[in-house]
Amino acid sequence: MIRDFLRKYRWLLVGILVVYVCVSLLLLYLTDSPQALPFQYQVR
Amino acid sequence: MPGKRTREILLLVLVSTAMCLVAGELVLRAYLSRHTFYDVEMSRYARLLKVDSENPKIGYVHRPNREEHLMNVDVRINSDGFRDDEYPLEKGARWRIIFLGDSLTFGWGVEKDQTFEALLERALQAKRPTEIINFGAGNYNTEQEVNLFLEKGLRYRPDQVVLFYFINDAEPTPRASRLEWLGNFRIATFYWSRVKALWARFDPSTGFEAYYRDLYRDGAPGWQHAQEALLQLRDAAREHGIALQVVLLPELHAPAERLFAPQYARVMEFLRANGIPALDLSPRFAGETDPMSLWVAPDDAHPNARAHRAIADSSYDFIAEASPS
Repeated sequence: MIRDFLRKYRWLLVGILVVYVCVSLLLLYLTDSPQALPFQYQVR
Repeated sequence: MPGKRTREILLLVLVSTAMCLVAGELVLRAYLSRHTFYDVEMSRYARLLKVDSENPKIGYVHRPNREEHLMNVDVRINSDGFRDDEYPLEKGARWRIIFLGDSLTFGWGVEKDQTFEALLERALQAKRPTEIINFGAGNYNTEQEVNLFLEKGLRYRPDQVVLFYFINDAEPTPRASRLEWLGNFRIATFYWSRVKALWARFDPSTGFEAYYRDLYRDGAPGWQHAQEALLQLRDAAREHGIALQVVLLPELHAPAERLFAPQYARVMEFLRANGIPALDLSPRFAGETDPMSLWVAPDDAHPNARAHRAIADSSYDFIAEASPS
């Protein structure tokens, strides 16, 4: 049943994985710059 | 009621997103075993070394007797909650100084023996036997620093207290967040901080410049509380015969441009008007044209060992003049 389910939606699953990886890498690339935020940090 | 296909797709999206987050957490933890991210390290610091204080004006204190490796350096907290050696409450013959401050005084990202506190302690021995107790704690503001001193510092009967003021000391005292549990997940800290950084890139009003300037706007509650705390500290020092000084630490994003000169001038004006000896170190860093050579890391503008050395050298004469030879 699960195999059928995954086969049926395999391209959607691949799409979600690709989107997740691309968004993560893009975020990493766009924010790879010297610190520009204040030290303020929600700690406690 | 959505159809079967819609329900299946929703389920797939939810499950696959959760799996992606779990995989991301594992990859990030593997990466962080060899590298450091400032936000993740600060989150670890909060969870590993801080505990709520019963005094809401202090907010949190360090867990006593803990050792952790944070931002590439070993951090050891003594039995009274300070990043320092053990000191008896009973004062000996040495001139005793307490340093109050935030993560800069704590020595975030710098080995203990390279912090300006340790350097000054060694340098001051030439004048007279001296011991300095480091009360610095990450993310403290002036109100927290002063209340920590009143609660714990007076017991040590110091001869001198030096408050190291930084531009963000006028922040309101932080409250516990209901989302604190999310800090257990590196991936949550990572996305949270990166999205904020991205936002600041497109909206400069959320960056450090606008944020720090806004802390000093007329009527800002944090600045108001900082002023009240400074007066409270002055009065307590006078009552107990303790020499009080304030040193303003430079903001290191662009020290040559002196971005916050008006804000620091305002702080200096307040201190002078209220009879508190103060020194602003910002002008002494005006020749620093390569700011990142002073930083702990590219994603962390805390002062590194070189900057700590410069802070110690620049403040030595001022701090030494308060102690008799």
